[in-house]
Amino acid sequence: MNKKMFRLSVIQAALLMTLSGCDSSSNSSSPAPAPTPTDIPPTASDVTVDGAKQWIPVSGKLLGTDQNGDALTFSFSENDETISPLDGTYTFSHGQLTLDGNLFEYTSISGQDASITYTVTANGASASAKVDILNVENDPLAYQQWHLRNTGQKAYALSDEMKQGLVDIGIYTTEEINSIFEENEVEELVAGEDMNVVAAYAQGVTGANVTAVVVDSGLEIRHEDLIDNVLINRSLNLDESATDRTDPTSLSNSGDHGTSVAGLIAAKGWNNIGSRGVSPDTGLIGMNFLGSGKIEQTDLLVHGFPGSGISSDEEISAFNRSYGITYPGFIAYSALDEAVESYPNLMLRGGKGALNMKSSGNSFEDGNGEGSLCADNGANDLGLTCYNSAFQPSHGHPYYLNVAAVNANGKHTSYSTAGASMMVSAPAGEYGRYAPAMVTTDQMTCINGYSGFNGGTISAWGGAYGEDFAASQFPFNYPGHPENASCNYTSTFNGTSSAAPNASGVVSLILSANPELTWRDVRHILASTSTVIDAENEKVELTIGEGTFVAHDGWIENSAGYQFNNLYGFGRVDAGAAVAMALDYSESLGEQIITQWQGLGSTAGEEAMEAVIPDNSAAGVSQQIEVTEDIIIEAMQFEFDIRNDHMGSILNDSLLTSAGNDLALEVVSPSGTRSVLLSSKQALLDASYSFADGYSMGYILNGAVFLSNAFYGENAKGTWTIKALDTGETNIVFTDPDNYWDATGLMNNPVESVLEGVSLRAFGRAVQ
Amino acid sequence: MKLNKLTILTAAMCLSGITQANAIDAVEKKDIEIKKLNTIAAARTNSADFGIFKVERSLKTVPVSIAAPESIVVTKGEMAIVNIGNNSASDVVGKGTIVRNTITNKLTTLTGNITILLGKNVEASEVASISGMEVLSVFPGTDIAILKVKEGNDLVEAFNAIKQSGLAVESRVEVTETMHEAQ
Repeated sequence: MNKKMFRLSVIQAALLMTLSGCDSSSNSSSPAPAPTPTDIPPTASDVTVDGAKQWIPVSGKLLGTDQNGDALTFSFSENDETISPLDGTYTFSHGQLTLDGNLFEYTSISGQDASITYTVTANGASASAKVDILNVENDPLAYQQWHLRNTGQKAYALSDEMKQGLVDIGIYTTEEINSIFEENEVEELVAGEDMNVVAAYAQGVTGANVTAVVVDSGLEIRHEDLIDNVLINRSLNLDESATDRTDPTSLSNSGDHGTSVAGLIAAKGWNNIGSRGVSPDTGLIGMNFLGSGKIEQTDLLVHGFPGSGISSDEEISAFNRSYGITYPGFIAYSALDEAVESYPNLMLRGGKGALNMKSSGNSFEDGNGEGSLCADNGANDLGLTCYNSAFQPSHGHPYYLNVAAVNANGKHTSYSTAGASMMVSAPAGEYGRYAPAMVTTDQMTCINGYSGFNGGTISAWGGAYGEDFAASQFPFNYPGHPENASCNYTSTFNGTSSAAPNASGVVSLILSANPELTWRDVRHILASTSTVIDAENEKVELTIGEGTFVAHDGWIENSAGYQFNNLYGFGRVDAGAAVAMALDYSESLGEQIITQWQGLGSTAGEEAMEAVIPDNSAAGVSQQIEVTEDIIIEAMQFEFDIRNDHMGSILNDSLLTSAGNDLALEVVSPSGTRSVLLSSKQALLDASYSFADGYSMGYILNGAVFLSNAFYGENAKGTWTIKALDTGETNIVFTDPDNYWDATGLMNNPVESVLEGVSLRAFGRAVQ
Repeated sequence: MKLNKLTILTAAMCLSGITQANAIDAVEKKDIEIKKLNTIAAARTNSADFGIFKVERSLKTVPVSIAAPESIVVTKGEMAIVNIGNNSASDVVGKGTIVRNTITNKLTTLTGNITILLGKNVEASEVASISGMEVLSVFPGTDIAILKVKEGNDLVEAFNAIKQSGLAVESRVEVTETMHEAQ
């Protein structure tokens, strides 16, 4: 426990009075009556608690005494109102207090100095004094960081300025906007929907002694709220043109993604400046990976290979990777990428491994190049993901942990890409207007950054609608906000770009709590402690011909008792529960076991199968694969080759085949757990391609590997059933033909798709 | 089967107001002007020379300060990619050669290196030897190596030699730009 003992500022003074009686009528011959004991009222003295940290409990002792030794009781008041305990906790406007005898534990919630009046009572008499909480260490914006502690705060969204701006410009009447705001305040702001970091801090864990690597667009190493956590001379500028290799500060003036990501992980805590990271005492290293003009071996350096400056025994907790590829086609798996991307897990931290935390993508509704497909094919209305997280090959192995994004109401964001590869979810929010986004660090000064004169959104909105309107819609980001005078922070950062660093912060807390854990232990803790959110999340069932196909299962519980959802993985990370498990960790996962690929057809090195996937048929085509090894599953991979001769072609001058849009894949484990790998209605418009060989014309999937975490903890032994099906028989007209091909629509696949091969590989451990 | 499908498609065209079979999906069947498959054309004309990259032999990188404005294709910081109008196939592909990513259509530059995942019990030097390259880096504990093209040798030829040798599980020509973007 990270507690600070109080300091006694006022010395207790006690005055003992003895009283004697004299009865003039007393008979001298009678024995004098014994003097009646006189009760002495209790006394109370002021107590000072100096230098407490917001959200971290401090303990102290109430200075109440009674000379008669009468039993003491304590009570508390604030503004002359008695505070009654609820479940043993006294809640004040500024903090909470629990009492054990005369020992108290106080947690500052407000981060402000405060004074508590306490009263000690003994034998009907009482005395009062104060507990003065002085010099509370704080982060002035933390009270708006709902992802850390959600009180239902707005985080500068749904502001009065925004409301007035919309009325002034004539978009809404006052009545209309009031109604919208009232509805959103109820729907979007839900207290308690957070990562429970306060419980982690209460266990004395704030992320010390570990370092997170921010692999991103840059890192402003001199930022006022990052500098104390940035490891001196350890960051890398990977630009060919760099003059200072240790400084990856971005030269952009309209916002640096990496600087905002870094603040979510580890903005310095309790320095009375700006915001707070999830893991406020964790070190930071930055690498400006994104963009063009990079030096040789960049791909290796950003994975901690020799030459990166990261030693093999350094306590690196996480590499945060809030980036990805958004393309309406499936990118084939790469053994080379797996070898590179697994390096942190297998080689760093003395072999215990560092974690790769990877954003899942922001393409639930739409992505890049598919145009209006997912509005036109029904995916948006149904709540099916437009892009699947599996489209990116780095999401196909367990060495990258996919992180999805959730809102301040504990539900799926409008954009977070879904898929069976999801590991966990974390807060990120919407756009900071009608619903909260993240409050985090931004490039310093109002000249640079998302906040300030040159912020991309502010510039665009100012240019289009005028500065007054832009200022009203983004009051915190626009220069002049009293809580953001230097524009060093933003309130509009979001995306799975935010979810990943929030999860990286939790991983840093876990490894700070217990540095003996391996990367697989951390995965196990995340799977075991994450919170089921949006519990009523509904399944999506499609009718196909005479049958049905469940394209989204909602929450499932597998046979090992783990709950899983393609939107959220194992749920939203819970820092308090994760740290508690880390501190008292008793699992022994043993050596990692990876089976050989095994399967049927082309993916198994055999002749390609010709298993036709019937058009618009819920029956589809099924294959079974027998696993003989007794393995407790930590992750499952499934590889597919699926051909459709028209993938990569333009039909009738302006159409694409619907084959990729219509394809659905499901797997059922030997234990009966079902995992949907492809839901159908997804943006698989282009032919499959690989980095090594380019396009595979005529293939929807070629060497395509899907990861599923849904079977975590189950035994892999037994029969696996894999089904591929085509879910549609319709042509689709694009309402907007602005796509990579200028295609006007999809033609229901004139030729049927063919499953040529399917294989699987298990990652796990021996049955004990 | 193909004929059956076309028959169904044709029949569907004759029915107005037909709704999609999907009971939940509210999207109505889109009546598209398709009766049958008439033409098939490749969706892409930009074929790759290796991996996903096409060599752009007529493009060169020069400082912006000396680039003729009319020849600039794109600027990257203080450098400009310019079209020199000479698509000479005799040029050796190596460090600094401009290539086009056939997926993103963006231009990038070769570093002159190839990253390889070595086959079982294969030494990086063996691969270097058969491909006319030299070993730049190896990483103990992994099967990853970086090879560098020798001065005057062609990187595409080296890449193809590595693929044909079977000594590498996978190889990739290194460029100076990642396909990844913030997300």
